[in-house]
Amino acid sequence: MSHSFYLIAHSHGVSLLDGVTNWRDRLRVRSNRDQRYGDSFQVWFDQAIGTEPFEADVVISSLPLKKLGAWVISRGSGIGRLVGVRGKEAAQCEGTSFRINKKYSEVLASWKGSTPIVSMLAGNQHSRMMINSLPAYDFLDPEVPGIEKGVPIVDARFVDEIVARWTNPVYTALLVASQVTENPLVHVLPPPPRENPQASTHLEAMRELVYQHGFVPDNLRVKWYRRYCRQLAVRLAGIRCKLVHPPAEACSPAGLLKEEYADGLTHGNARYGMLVARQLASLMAQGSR
Amino acid sequence: MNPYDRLPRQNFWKASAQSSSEIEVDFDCGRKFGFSGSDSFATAGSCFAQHFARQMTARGGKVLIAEKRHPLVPQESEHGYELFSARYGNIYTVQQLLELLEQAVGGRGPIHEYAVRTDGRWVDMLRPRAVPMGFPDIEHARADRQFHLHAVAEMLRDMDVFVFTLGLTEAWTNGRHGYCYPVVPGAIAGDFSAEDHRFVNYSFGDVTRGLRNVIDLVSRANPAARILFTVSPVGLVATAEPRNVMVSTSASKSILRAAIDEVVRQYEAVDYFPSYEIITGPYGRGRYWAEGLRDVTGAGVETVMDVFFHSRLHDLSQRPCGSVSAGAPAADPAMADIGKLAAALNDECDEMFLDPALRVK
Repeated sequence: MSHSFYLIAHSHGVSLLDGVTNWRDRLRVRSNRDQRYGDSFQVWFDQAIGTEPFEADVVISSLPLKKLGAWVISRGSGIGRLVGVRGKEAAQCEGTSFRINKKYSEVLASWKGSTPIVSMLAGNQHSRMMINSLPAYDFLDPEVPGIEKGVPIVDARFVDEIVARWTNPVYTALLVASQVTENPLVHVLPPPPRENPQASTHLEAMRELVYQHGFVPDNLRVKWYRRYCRQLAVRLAGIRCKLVHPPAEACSPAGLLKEEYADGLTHGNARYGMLVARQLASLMAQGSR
Repeated sequence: MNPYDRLPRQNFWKASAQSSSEIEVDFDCGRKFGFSGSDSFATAGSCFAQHFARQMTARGGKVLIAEKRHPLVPQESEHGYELFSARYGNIYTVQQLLELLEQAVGGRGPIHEYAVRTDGRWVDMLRPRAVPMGFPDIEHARADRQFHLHAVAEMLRDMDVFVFTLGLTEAWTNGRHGYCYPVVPGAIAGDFSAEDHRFVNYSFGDVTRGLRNVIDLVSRANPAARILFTVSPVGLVATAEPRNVMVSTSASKSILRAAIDEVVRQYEAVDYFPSYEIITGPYGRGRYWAEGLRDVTGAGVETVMDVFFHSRLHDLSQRPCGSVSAGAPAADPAMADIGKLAAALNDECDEMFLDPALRVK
């Protein structure tokens, strides 16, 4: 049976895999308990997931997807950056030369063909701005109305420069994929910041910072997130990479991830992954017509 | 015996002229109050006032910065923070200051007038060079002005001393809505309209009234604050009066100086510091003028600050400072320093945009 798609993912891929596949059974992953994380991420920081791509079956019969090949790059895998930019890292990477991770090259070579490659790479960098560790500020965003009163307004050009450092790893990885393969490319945008972050049972790696500083206002978290998504969308549009947006059903009117779809402080859960899988299936169906 | 017999030597021209330095002349004798190193100084005014904040900081004084650069704004960007206590840019006239303070404390609504520059960035016409990099759009410019006014209100509340350097009496106003620009529309951004924009040259009466209103407003916002006025020695770049610019400069500075003299007598918490006299007076023998005869040399600025610290901030006046010379100013200051300072002044002076020959493209 051929693969419905290949998945290359960092931590956001866990929701999709948990939502619709038997990946944990296939990998037989076991790990020591880490109280900072919920059940989904117990295997993330050790070597349980390994460094090799694996196969998983889609176990939701209502989905037209059957099997997928996945390369999940966990923190504990030691894979490192997929693409390094030679010399000083530029905000925009066009025209610079890349150093491609050897394992990434091997994986891409093994996936060459017509099967779509779905990326759930990175996407958590904006989360660092949720911590209220800086002096109060705000910035204007065309998609998120409202401005905090009595705080300085940061020029969006500086916001975009910061965001560019976050979009670079995804963009360069997919740029390389677009250059060395002809597979259709899809990138799944990360889930938005969760509502009521203070209610999260697991604070992940940010526990100390959260205790020390608390969170910035919801509006500001959404602004950073939207800025990230918008910039990434513009950059990926230039390399024939389609986008999957967060499922509307999982988002609150304010643009936050509803609690019932959240896992820990920054991730979607299996229910969220199921919704993403539906969107992916729909996109694949459109692509095959 | 006559009333002059018991006066100190500073009251006599000959003795003053024979003094070995400006400090010995004691230009600032008769001061009402001094300051301590713990006092927070808020600064505002024309081009010359920018030096006050720099020198205060360099010599260990405490300059209140109510509108700070946020860590997300790169230091190397043209952000315009920390030239003054808030990002208002140069304030040349008392009327401009009064209108700013009124907006800050809510005495009048915010004035919103913005224009797009040729580079596509927006400027606030009430402070067109205060944020050199401009704003990405009009919404940002409006939001920034709101925060700016908030910061000015905070500055008024938190300062111990307000130092305002008066620069001009000539200004351009919006005749339709009744407010004052720092520089004529069309010089930096926006379009000049003969219908909307009116020239005004504030009289002695206008300036004294304006100063009183400023003093009353500051006193209401911060009853403990002391106010120190100075007059910028820097001449006008251009005059809109039908006369020579040097004659207009003399008229302008005379009116400002006289108006300050008038109000200082009436308020205990208000005083004058004679930087104008130190630079322009005969004792300086013209040596503090930079090459264009308008700007002040670095040595001139340092001499003014030497006198200020010696007279008013004595506990900090002995602190070493690499860029500040002690004692009498050098008669022949290094040209490099003059050039740097003059260039800095030119860069930061809105008025330069009035002279087509000097306009920065």
